[in-house]
Amino acid sequence: MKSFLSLFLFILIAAAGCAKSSQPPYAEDPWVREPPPGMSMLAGYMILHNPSSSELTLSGASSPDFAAVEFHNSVMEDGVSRMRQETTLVLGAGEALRFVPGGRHMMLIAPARQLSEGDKVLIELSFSDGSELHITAPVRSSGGH
Amino acid sequence: MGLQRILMIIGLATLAVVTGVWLQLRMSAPAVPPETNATLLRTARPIDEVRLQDTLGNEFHIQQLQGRWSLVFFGFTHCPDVCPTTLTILAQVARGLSDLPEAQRPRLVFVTVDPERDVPAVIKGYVEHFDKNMIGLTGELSQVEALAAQLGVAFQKVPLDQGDYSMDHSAAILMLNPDAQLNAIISAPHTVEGISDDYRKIITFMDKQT
Repeated sequence: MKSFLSLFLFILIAAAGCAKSSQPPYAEDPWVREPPPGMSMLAGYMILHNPSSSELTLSGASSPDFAAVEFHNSVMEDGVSRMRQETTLVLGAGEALRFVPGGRHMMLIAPARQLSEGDKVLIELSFSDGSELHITAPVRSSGGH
Repeated sequence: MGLQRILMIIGLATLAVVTGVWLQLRMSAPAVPPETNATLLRTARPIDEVRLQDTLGNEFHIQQLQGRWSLVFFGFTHCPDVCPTTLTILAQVARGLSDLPEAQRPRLVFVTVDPERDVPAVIKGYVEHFDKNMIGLTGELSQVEALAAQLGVAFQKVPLDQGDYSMDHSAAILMLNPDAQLNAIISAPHTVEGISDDYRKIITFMDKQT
């Protein structure tokens, strides 16, 4: 009986070791830049982590606080700043994607209300495996931090 | 005449010539420009007259920028990332340079590349959000293009879905001297420290030139 129990335990531990870790993604330090008055385009930033051992594909975003949320990358070509939309973003296992001023960002289109420093907005990220991540991001003054 | 004496005369004469040449070179040699990330123009480039509009809708001539150094950035208000990031940096630069005598502090100037949407009232609220003294300029597209071309700034309209559009535009900051002439070009990526250091070096160097 005792040996059966240890065999069972062994199998259990081995199975746990083989199984992929499926820790959910999380957003580090999300924030939205306080817009100048009347502006209909805002940018949101964060570091999006995928601590799981499998690849994750970010496939979209929405928000009750905005008409639409898109992913864009500000790229510099020959000194010219170009903004390019990205429809899907792949996060490798254990990787993080940085959304930073002057680079990749969430473009938050047509806010439902005038937002100012101290307000909070909700952003819902959706992944291709059907999972979602809800982020609460504070609105910060232009300087960020 | 002894050989020793001849040698001494030749030696003294050589020394005199070398000293003279050295002094001449030293006096006429231009001062070495400071090491900057910005591109400092050997000769400042005058800007032909363009007629723009300020945030109150009044006519604005580029010569009105005379009297002080100016830091000029071209952008558009529907730009959510690069423009607010750059204007925030410029506002911080201006705050950091407030130790300078007022005449040496920079004017901040924002010129829209999207005059279709960026009418004076829109720009007014926009620039004041970053710095209450920032000058905001718009105008007829042809006039904005004329100014941009003279400053080496490129921009282009990029259509988006549903009839919307974005603008690609140079991210450089242009430094105009107190004669409102193009004197230096500061290329992106921008940092508060980078621009402030270059600004101080350039105005100090140019002051000594005159």
